[in-house]
Amino acid sequence: MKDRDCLICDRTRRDFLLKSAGGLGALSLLDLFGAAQAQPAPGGSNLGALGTGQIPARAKRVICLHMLGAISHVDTFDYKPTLERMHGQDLPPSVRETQRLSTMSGGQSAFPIIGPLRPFKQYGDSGAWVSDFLPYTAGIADELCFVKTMHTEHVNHDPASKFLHTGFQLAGRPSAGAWVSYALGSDNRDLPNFVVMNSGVSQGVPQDAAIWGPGFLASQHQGVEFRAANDPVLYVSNPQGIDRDDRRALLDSLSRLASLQHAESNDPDILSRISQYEMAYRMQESVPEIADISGEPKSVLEMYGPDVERPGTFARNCLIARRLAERGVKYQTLFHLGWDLHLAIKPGMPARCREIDQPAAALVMDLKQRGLLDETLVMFGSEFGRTPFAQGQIDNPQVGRDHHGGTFTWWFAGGRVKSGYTHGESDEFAYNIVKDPVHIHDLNATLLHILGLDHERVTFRFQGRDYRLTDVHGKVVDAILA
Amino acid sequence: MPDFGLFLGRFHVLALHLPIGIVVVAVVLDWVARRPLHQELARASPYLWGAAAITAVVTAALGYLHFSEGGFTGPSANAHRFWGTATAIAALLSWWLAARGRRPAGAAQLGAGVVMLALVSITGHYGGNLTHGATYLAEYAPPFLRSVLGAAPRRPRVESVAVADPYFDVVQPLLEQRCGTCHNDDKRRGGFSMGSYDSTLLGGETGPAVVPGNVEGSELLYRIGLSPDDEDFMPAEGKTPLTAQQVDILNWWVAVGAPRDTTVGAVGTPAAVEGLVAAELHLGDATLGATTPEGIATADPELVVGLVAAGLQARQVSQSDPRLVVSLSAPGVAIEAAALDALATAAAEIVDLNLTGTALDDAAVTSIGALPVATHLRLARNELTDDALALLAASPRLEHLNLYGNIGITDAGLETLAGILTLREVFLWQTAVTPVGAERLRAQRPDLTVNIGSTVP
Repeated sequence: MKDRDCLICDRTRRDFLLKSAGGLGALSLLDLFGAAQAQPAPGGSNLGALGTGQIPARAKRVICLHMLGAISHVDTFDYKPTLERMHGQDLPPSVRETQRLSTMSGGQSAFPIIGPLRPFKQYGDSGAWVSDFLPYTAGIADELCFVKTMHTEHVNHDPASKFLHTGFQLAGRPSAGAWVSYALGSDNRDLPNFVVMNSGVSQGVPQDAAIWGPGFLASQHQGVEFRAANDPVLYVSNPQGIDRDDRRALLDSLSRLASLQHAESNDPDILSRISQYEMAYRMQESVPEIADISGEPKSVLEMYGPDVERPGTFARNCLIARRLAERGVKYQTLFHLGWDLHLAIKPGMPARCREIDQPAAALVMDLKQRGLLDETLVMFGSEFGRTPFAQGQIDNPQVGRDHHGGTFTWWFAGGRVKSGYTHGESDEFAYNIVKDPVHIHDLNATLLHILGLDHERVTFRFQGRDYRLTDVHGKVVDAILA
Repeated sequence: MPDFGLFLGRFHVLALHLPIGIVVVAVVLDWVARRPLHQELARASPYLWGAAAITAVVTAALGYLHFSEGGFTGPSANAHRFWGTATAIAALLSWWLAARGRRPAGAAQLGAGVVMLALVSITGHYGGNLTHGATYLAEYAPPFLRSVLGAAPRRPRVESVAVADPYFDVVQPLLEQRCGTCHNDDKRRGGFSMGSYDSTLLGGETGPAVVPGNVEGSELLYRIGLSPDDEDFMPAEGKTPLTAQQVDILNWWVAVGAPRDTTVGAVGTPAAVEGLVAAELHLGDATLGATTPEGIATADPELVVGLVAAGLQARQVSQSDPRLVVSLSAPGVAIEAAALDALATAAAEIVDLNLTGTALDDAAVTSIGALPVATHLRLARNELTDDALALLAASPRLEHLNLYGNIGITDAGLETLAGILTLREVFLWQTAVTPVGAERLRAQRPDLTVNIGSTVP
């Protein structure tokens, strides 16, 4: 009976075969770095499987600001006078060539260019061009490193977002944050290693937890979603009638039972589950403290703008992100939804930009005055960009722009990345890349590099092969490193 | 001696293991066979002693062939030859005794066995000195044994690069490790021994090996700098070459005049070389970004365990740089005395220390003491005053100092900050420092970034 339980509950057939063939199933990257590091982290620390990167880290943590739905690079950072001049004319077929379009504009017979919706000006000593949509971001242009030549293969949100965060277009691979959590743990044992926050309204753009999932890594590496409510993490508070001592006693008993089961089955998922229960218990104290912003001085709140007063706004999430960064949380992804402006881009853009412009700039400057910017990488962008041509009739007030992955812009701040710097150049229509393309895999390789990880040597063996975030691709973009 | 003889001679080091093993077995067998239960074994004795004698004679013959290569000139070489010959002769006598003697073995044969063991040991010891150098056995011996063996007392482990003796602590151990098996006082290949400072300079058949101050004229540097497939390349015969870092250290040592009886600090050593020397001596004070040896280096586990037990988190800078990045494992709580003690113990290894919001005061900073390799000190939101700055100024590599939220830091302290010449960034938001004071500091130190708070433009 006992044996049958063990086989049924805890071992798949593959597991069983592999383990009986000499324990190869347990092979992970730990094996590559010697037994010393394979020891579990000593009690109290949260150092991850590697404990330390292969190279000295430039930054200790990452805050990724993902404008889900795709912010228009044409109307924000990638200034092209040609588009202003050719407003209303068709995008020359020689520019578009045979590139794949989404089904939304693929059937159009004409591709009339819409010039930038607002004028651009140059800012700072670096002379970066920024649209009038983003006055606050423009004000910190000298802190930023713009990469104008991001590109991706994908034309739709779901695969493009999964590709951005997990390096693969289908669900099931670990998110970058999960990889980092697995390799490096975090710098705070009482908060999750990887936190996800959402703001804005999706307007039909799909978004699911696979973007911040652990894939085949242990489930504790999944991003923990902080919500807008008074109770930022679902079900983490005790229900009525249960106090902290009761909870402690319950967890202790549960843990004893679980250890018995583990002793019998050796299933690592049991340990993973216990560690998550304990993390949740510690989060019962640490999370309310994070969410309580009453101690923030008025001047700081003012930096983030009036939205910061309302939980669930991008501004509030940026403030929470700073508070988490201060406390050592390793990886955060902030999604702001509502950028998929196929329709009505003219009223849509100013509204969205107002929601994110001041908070994003405030986050960078707030980290800076706290001396945290040099050890925190802030990155801002989308799964792809938008077309310089119109989707729909150009004189229709409901006109919009379609998806475009051929070139789009991200900015980076902190993390000892160059500031006041622009990398790469797109063509005069902001459609194709002229110089220094940066692929999504390159972005992820660079991100890991900044955290001290060699993207080729952070691997996990699953289903018979060593997986990594960048698959078999990715080149670190040395040019943007200070 | 024809080459073929030299070729055979090199089999000496293989063949010598046979008589050693066979003699041991023969002696044990002679003793065991004295018991009535194992009497039958005695019949094997003559065959074993025969095998011992034949292999001993062959080994001795090969030894003479090997000796004729030259270079074996020291007292160990002569002693090894003498005792090796004696062993071969005594082995023949033992064979004769075993073949003629009664069974089980009588006193004569048993005595011969003991003598054979002694001879094999003595010969082996001198042979070992020839291949590994006379100090090999004594190197890790307990002190009383060292004095019995006549070896000089061990040099104490150096604590930092600055106080290391360039020759005795750095160059000599390096040469002994890479060159000592062929160039020691007993086995002077090419007539060259690196057993002492003088003999290292003196060189061998091809003239002086080291000319102080003359990198081009030093045969040793020329040989180790050649391409490994060059006929003159050293170490010869496919032995492990010196690492690029070791070559750089030797070049530096010769260039500055092959000093000894002084310290690396006193010689005036560039930081890059200091980094190399620190890595060679496995010391923690290699500068950040300086060449560190490839591969894995692990921080002292005792220090790390001490820090973790005191509620701190310690990461290495990287897998090849064992210095530590330290913070609280649950940030934001007041620091405890145990943590301060652990920090004081590990102070020499800490590059980056984050004690933000831990109610740290001047006394706590005093108790941690100097942080000789720290580049980043993140001490924001604490209770430090200007007095603490003088202590922080004692960290000779400090680049980034975060003091925001320490209300006791005032304009008066900025003078001290201005004096920390390595400092690149200082954070003074929410302190008592005034914009005027910050402006004065900027004027005094244009290379220093002074942050007293951000506004969103």
